[in-house]
Amino acid sequence: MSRASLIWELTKRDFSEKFAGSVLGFVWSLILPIVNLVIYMLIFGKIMGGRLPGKSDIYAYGVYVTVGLVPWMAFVGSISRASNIFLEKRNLISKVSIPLPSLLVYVNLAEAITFMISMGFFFIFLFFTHHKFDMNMLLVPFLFYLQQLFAFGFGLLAATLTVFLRDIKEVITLTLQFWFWFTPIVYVRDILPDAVKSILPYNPAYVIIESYQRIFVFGTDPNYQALIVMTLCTHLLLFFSYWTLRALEKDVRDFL
Amino acid sequence: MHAASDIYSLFIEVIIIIRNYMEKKHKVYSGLFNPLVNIYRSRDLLMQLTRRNIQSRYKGTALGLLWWFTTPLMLLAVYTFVFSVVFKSRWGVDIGDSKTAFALIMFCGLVVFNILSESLNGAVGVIVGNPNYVKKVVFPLEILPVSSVLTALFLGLTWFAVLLAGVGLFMQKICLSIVCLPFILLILVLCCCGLAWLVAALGVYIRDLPHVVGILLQVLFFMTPIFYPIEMVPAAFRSILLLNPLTTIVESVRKVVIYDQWPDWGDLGVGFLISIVLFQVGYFVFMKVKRGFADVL
Repeated sequence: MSRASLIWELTKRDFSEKFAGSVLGFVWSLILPIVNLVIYMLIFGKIMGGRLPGKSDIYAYGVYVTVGLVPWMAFVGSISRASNIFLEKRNLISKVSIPLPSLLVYVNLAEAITFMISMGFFFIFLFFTHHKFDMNMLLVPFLFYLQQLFAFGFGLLAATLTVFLRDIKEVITLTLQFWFWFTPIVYVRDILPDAVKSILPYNPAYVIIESYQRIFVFGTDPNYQALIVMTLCTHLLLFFSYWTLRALEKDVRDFL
Repeated sequence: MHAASDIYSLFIEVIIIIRNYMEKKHKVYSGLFNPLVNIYRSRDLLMQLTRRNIQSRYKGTALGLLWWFTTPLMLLAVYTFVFSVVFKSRWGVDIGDSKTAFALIMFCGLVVFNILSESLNGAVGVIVGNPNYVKKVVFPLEILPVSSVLTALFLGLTWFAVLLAGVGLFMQKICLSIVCLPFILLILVLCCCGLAWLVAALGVYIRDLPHVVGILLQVLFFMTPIFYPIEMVPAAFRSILLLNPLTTIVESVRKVVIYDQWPDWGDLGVGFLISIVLFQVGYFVFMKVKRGFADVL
């Protein structure tokens, strides 16, 4: 079996296992994003009365939260699942000769499918609320590619280290919690004190999420300079993770 | 621990005596005590199951069970740091040093919600995940969901310990009113058991239930004043939030742990009644549909 079809098989199985035996089956992967969208728009916007400063639109805060949380979920999901993937699939690894990074590819692919479904519904919502569309939205695939590439590099490193020290997985969970609150996703950047604001540009999640927010909420260009720097750094991280895996691959397979 | 279990066994013995007396002398329906008596009879098994659940979670990590404490500790540290240094937000009601209080107030809600969600997420697949107990051996299946609840409760108690330590450290006080905490927790545990029985039983027949429970828990999370004070909610929606029993529990925990006030006994009494009804209904439904499990699995 070719590598690509193996990855595709794993991805399909991931979805079918998740919904195995249920009546609605795959439909659940459509329902969950819709429910999330409703929660963001209705509960955050209407019930909790969240408003964006300077915007009168009742959905503005909902849109702000959605374009932050949907990419963030894909990002977090990829990293936290990746950190455990070698242990989770140890039987597969020991039986089939499979390149270890391809397991991460499938995790990323599964998250990407969920992301696309969510964004699909989000675009339908935008269409019906007469949101202004502009050309910058064409950048979304690139932004998503960049964030998942970063998640891939980070996840690869975490997955490799978790094999030797299981505690890494718990550390990752806590780190992601911390990271979430340090990124303006459910709150706006302006409420942060200056000291924190000055270190924000070094937060890769902020660079990405802010680009989404600028495109969808504020209708301005993303910070191209930051994005270019981040693209470079992401590739460096990727090389480093890959190199670490290659250096430790024999031990990883022994440990499993 | 031993003293507590002795008191509990004494309590159960008394209940068994009362039950037998009522059945023999007055022919009164006494099924209400069945859940307690049944749990008591399989207590050893229940403890073993729970211990295994707890141990399996951090199996293979270097810190092992220390993660039970490390996780809530780090989480509280994160919240305290984020909400005092990064955000500088206020809860609205000023109490002492309100910067750190904000994190502690949120933590109260999180602890309560975590017990419920861990219980239900564990219980919803517990029968389906253990078909051998259903088909191959005679096994008191009704204790499987209870062991999910106990596992969640054990986790929750370490979170409470961290919470109380945080209140002591940051606010320099331990409120006398925390003597009410066991009663509030009892309400929560009864609710959790009832719901755990319900979702465990229905989960066998409706395989989509884990997803439904996931969605409902997520909605419930935002419909419970955990990350926001209930005063922030527009008045029209506030009455809806108050229908949610979890709101009462979260607010009561906050009152006794942080504000040093006695809880609203009226609300708690209603909550207690609701929890008993849930407990009984859950058990009743579970025992009714239990016979069909072997055919479906």
